[in-house]
Amino acid sequence: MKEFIHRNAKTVAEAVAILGEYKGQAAVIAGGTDILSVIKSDLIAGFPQALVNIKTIPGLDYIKEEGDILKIGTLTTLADIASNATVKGSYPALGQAAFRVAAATLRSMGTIGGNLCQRTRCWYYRYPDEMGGRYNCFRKGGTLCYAPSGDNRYHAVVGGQVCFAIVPADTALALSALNATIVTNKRSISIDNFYIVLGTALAPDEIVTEIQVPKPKAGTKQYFYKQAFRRTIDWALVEVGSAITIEGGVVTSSRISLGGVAPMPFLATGASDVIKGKAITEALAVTAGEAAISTMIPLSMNKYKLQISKTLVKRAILA
Amino acid sequence: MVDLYVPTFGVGPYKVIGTRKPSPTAADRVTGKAMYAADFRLPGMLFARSLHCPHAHAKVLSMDTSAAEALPGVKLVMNYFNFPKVFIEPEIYHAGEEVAAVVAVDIDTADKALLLIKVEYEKLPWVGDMIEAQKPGAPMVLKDTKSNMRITTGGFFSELNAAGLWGKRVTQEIRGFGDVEVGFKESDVIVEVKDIRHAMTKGPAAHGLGLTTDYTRSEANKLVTFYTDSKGLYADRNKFAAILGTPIGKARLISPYASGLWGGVMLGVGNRRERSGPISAWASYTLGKPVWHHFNMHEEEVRSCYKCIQANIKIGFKSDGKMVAWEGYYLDESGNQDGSAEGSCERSTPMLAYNRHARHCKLTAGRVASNRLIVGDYVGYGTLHGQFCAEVAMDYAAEALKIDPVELRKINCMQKGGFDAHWNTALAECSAEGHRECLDAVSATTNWKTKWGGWDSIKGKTGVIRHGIGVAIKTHTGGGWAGTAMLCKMFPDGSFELVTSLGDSGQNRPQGELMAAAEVLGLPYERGTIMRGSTDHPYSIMLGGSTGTWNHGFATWEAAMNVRKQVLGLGAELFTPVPTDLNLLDMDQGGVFLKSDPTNKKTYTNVFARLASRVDANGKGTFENRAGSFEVAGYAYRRAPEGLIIPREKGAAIWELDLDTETGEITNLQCSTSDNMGRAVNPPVIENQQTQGAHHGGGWALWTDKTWDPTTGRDLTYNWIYEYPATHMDVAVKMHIVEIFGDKSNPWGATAASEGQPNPHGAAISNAIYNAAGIRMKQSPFTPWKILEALGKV
Repeated sequence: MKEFIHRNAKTVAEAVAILGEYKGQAAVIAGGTDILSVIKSDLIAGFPQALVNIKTIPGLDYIKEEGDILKIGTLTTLADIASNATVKGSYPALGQAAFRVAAATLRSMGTIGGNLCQRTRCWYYRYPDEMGGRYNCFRKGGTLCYAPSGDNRYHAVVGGQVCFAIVPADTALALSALNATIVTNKRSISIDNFYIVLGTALAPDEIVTEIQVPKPKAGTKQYFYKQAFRRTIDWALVEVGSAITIEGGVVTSSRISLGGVAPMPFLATGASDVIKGKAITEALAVTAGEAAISTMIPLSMNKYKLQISKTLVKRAILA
Repeated sequence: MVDLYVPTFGVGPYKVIGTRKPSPTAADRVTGKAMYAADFRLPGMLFARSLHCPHAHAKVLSMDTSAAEALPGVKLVMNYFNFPKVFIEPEIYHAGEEVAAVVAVDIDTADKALLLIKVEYEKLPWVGDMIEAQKPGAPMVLKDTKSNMRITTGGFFSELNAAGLWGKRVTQEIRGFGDVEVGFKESDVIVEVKDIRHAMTKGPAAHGLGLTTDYTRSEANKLVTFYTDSKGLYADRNKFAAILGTPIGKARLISPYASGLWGGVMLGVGNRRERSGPISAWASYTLGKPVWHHFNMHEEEVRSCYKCIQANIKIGFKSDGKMVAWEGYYLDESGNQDGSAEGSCERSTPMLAYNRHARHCKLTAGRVASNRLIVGDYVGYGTLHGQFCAEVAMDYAAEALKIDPVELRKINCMQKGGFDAHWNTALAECSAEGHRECLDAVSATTNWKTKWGGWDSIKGKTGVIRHGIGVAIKTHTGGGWAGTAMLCKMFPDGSFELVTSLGDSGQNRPQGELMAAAEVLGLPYERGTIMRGSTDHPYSIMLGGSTGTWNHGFATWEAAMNVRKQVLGLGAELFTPVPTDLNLLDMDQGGVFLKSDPTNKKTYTNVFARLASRVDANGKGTFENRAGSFEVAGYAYRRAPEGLIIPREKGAAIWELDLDTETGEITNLQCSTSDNMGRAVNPPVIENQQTQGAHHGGGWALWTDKTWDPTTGRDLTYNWIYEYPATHMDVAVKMHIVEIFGDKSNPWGATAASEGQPNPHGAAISNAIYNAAGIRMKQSPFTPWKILEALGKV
């Protein structure tokens, strides 16, 4: 493993200051389940020069409801979220998503902040340098995404453009469906804007401090489903999170988000448009599923994601 | 009471054999106390790391190592140009192959130095897998060849005798016996299945995190010690000694906690281009320091075992289901080497598994080279692959015959007294059977008849989620005959010790041997310990499959019997009158006693004290009250009994699953698996093997795919993330131990049950998918996209 400086931060301000000191060459460590893998693979030349440990910052591990907002501290473990009664009661999609992250040991170490900010698992991006040299892909500052001409079975079918890596954060799907806000040391960012094609919208000296989730209206049904090879640990092939509000027998609002298909949670607005103002039927759900994939363009090996996506959207609506 | 001087071959009754005992090494393994090869730190130790080629096929033209050599802490830089014995040739045959190594004071320094090495490559044409390699115009992988495919030779048998055994064997490219053209003419139903494919990837690599060589002794005593994880220390010792030309007697191997690993396999049967051993050995020899050649997670994974098979199978049957003829064409991927293909095809055909009726068999087997690292067949010479092809084809056959697939297998499965072609000798007789009992066991548990529902039931299944059920059998080789040794000791406090180099594999892994010794000595299992893990200990054969069951079984029995005889002999002297027949005596944890009066026990303290009350050469009687310093020892070197035909592994599996026809997702996986292993010496060992076999066999069939980048040839599955063994939460495994006593290959009637555990599962899952949704999945893995394609959804 390459050498790096390890600094314990006592406050968010101190952590941010250290990040600023290293001008983008430092990384935050909390649970460490992702960043240590990045370091072991020597993923990016010279990066990170320093790790800023934020586990030493008190008061960032909490789950509480204040008014109609659920607030989760960035250091809250995924295991705690998955087992929290409030989450399970009023935000079940988030609880289920947290439960489906990796395996029990990783959920006990991994934090919600880390889950949201982890790097993509694209096997070109993650290729270890020691095995003949890293792929200098677009996401790393190169000029090429290797997926379109390579083995792209796990890559994006929409929103890729210059990089077809997918967002690996299961909780992001649920938070997208629940229209969450990501609070950092600088600002509050809608989950819709938190991810960009090449990762997150965070500045080099910006840290996620809290996740805020508005309490769903009465009559809102939530759904989360992750299709992976195994139900015990793997990353999603395709996953869906949804929150659909039904009032007076018709859909008044909905957010249906797909994962495993894009570099960010893919908000299936086409599907929401189809069901808005209508009573849910099987036929309507099928139509919505088709609408959800209408803008997807598969690569050579991942056409299957469209079939799964439209099915999961249909099931989310019918749930 | 059973006279333990005579083995009862499983009949019993036994006090210890057949009970459930924990592994003596389990606690150390799960608490991290176990010392594996990579855990040893020796004084003055240096660390070697490798530089890997980025190209799938290339030639190293030159290498500038000056900057690496100048880095402080670097002791040696090795490459083809200064260590041709290590790197063999400048040509590189797969991406990730080692082209250089740096030896330094620590791993980080070695890694930094690797980055300073400049290599000039000439890129050469490459081909990524066995399918591409067969296409016209494909680049040649191996030198001086005109085709990437080569048919390999095997045995063709003739001169059938009245007992159904073939009397004459000739080596040629066609394997088998009889005349399949005649057989197919005699057949009422002929089934042909083409382009069946199955691959397995087994990680981690053979050397967990690398190996260490210590060549630091004085000139006068040139001992070389290798620290490697191996279940075959003595087999590997020869190969390791050969690296440096060290006399075998001067080479030591240390491997205290090895299990299913094959430390030296890469040096010999696996891959001629394996370099870890040579790098470590020659670096240690050159520098006079112990050198650990270190692998990390990615290097292990890229070097993990992979093998693919492609097969066409044609089978002829009488209308009653009796098999008449089998013709098969099998190709094994051999990667960057000129491998063989024998095991993949033979064991799953009338040459063994279906030897009951068929008298016509023609197998053509070949290997296909590609620019990939194929470490070895793994799982018994590729029987897993051949079994998959055979058992998928048998399901096609059962449907064509409109016969229950369980019944079709019972009609044709391996018969005791039938021909066993794999021993490659004429008149070889199959020593055991048991498939039928195993099929009955899993059928009963799963309520097969009702759930399977007949061939017409498939068409009647509707709905999005469809339940399916499928069956397959397994047949597997069980290892060889070479002998093995055991030293058994007993002490005055009633404890005992076994000393051996036994690996942790097969039925008679360490706890099995301890149980056997405890049974013979009448002592509690818990009073025993086993010393092993080094060539300083008595010889042990490499434990391929359940080899140790019959070799160690008799060695342990005899060594313990030697101790028993001595202890009873000493104890006899304490009785008045002294019994003349030791069979009148017995022993247990309380001491030695007359069978006629178990209450009058002579304690071991007193028994062992007899060792000190001897008459010396001058006729002078002596007695020293220091019995605690004595031991009674027995040694035995045994092979399996002469003339014994070692029994094969026999078993069956039924899988159930739910298939989502809209997403291709398979859930609710349930596996019922059974083995006939004669007597189960320690049932948890069998159950553990069955569970792991289902998890691995299921994971390979359903999900795991060794993937290479089509643009570079690099292995993209460089991380455990891309290995998908099933877990306990993914598959519910019901285990069945089918005991049939009387096999004389082991004193306790224990037979083979080990390496072949994963073999039936892929085909059983494939057959269950067909039962669920009417789609034939004959190429693994059965990923959602393949299922959706088969369903016409993609």
